[in-house]
Amino acid sequence: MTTTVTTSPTVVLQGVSRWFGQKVAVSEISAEFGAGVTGLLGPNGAGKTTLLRVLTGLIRPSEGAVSVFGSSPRSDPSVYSRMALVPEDENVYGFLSAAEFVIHNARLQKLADPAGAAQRVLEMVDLTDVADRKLAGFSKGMRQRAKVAAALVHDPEIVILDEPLNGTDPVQRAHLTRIFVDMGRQGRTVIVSSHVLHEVERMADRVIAMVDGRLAASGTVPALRSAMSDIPLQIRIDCNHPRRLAAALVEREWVGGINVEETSLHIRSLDADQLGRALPALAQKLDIRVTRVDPEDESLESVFRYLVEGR
Amino acid sequence: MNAQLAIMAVTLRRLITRKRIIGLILFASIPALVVLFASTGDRGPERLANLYHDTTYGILIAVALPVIAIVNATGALGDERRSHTMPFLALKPIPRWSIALSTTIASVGATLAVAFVAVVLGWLVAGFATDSWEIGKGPAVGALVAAIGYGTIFVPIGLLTRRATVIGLIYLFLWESSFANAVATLAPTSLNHIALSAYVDLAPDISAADALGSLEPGAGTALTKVAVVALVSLAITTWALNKRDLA
Repeated sequence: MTTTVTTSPTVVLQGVSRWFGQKVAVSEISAEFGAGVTGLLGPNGAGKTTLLRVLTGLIRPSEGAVSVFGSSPRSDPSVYSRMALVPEDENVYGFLSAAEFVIHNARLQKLADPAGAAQRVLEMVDLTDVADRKLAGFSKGMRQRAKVAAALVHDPEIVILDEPLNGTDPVQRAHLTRIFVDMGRQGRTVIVSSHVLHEVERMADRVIAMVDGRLAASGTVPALRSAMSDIPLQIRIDCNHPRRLAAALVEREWVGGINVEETSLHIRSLDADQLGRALPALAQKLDIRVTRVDPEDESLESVFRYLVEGR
Repeated sequence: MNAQLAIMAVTLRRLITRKRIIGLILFASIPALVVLFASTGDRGPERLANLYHDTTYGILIAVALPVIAIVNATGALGDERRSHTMPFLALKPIPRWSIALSTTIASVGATLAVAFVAVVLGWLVAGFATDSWEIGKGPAVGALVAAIGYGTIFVPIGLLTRRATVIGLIYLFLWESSFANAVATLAPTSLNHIALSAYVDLAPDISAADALGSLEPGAGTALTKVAVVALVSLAITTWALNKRDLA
């Protein structure tokens, strides 16, 4: 599958594959990335990190080619003055303070005023109060923000973020999400990987979904959502009269099957939206008290597997 | 501070932690402590000089410095890869040869810092005990040769394999201590013997001179040899940074 962007692409992957011995981590991915935020979505082990490492030149593709601003990052390190990676690993130079770490990155970017640039991005990620504290004593969320600051210190045009919200609390999460969205609006190429759909949904204009190293789906978030709404879902409903509710539901055409237990029923629904609309009315009409409604298999992995295998 | 100096500074800070440096200096200072202890007895200057050279070569040059250099060199870039901090170094607009050079200088510098303390300490103790200030020249040049040789060649090995330290110790204790000692023609393949050739050039009467094998004493030749080793190591490190996976 190939995915393209409408604006001129800054990053182009052509038939990129990467395998480690017998294991294929990334298989024949062709994609283009341009201005705006693109979410790279997939369950753990889907190959997102490997793809981002290939894209940034940290590892070689076994096959295919990567082009960033028309150059290969592995043979032309000058492209790193225009791009940045926030790696997934939380390891940083623990013996440096946050300020030293960001200034160090600014020096390696050969900036004229490393301290001034560091101050700007430390303010952006809200770390100025703890800038002189050693990174070794930072929480995971604070380290994430320090890594984001280090990556943004040279004002890159391409920003690649591998699970950047891992370990952050809700306030930090909202803050970082705002920063990434703003960068996309400024016309930068922002690529954010995540295994959490709603996280990506808040940031990305466009989503590329990966499963088992392959590109499973791509498009806008509403388009992907729409594709996912056709997926049969297993839903659990806890109520005080499961048999009565099952009898009322079984005739509906969007119900694929029902298992009844003592205090719950498990419905295989072909249209979760229809079920969501019908259930309150039915419960009221039959005088049934519904205490819980939960999807049982709406994990990202099952959704992606459906997208891959159902195509 | 430019990018190269920044890489050197951070690599040195990573390699030279306070606890580590105290431990390594104590380890490397054993010869000085032995001579200091011996000088309190009734040994004459000649016996003290022999004791100084035997312990300085046998402990500092042949064991302590190589071990310290291997730990520093394998960690200079290897630790970046193993601790997943390589993106903060490699994804920068800096030529790979420059990264290789900066980290290699830091590796040699970290080893020389320990060597400097140990050599100067031993030189002072032996100088006072024997009343001869020429005595420290051999150890100083021998330590310099060892620090450059071991401190450079294990940088690319640390980048290429996770088992670099084990490989280094096998090379040191199996190849150099056994084979290169036993077979005279293998001496040129041993950094330790090359360091010894520099040492012996400036301290010809030491008993370890017998272990030179097929090598001739010569500080200039030894320094040239380790300079070639350093250049080859730099080339391999640059190649590895360009061609191999960095994560």
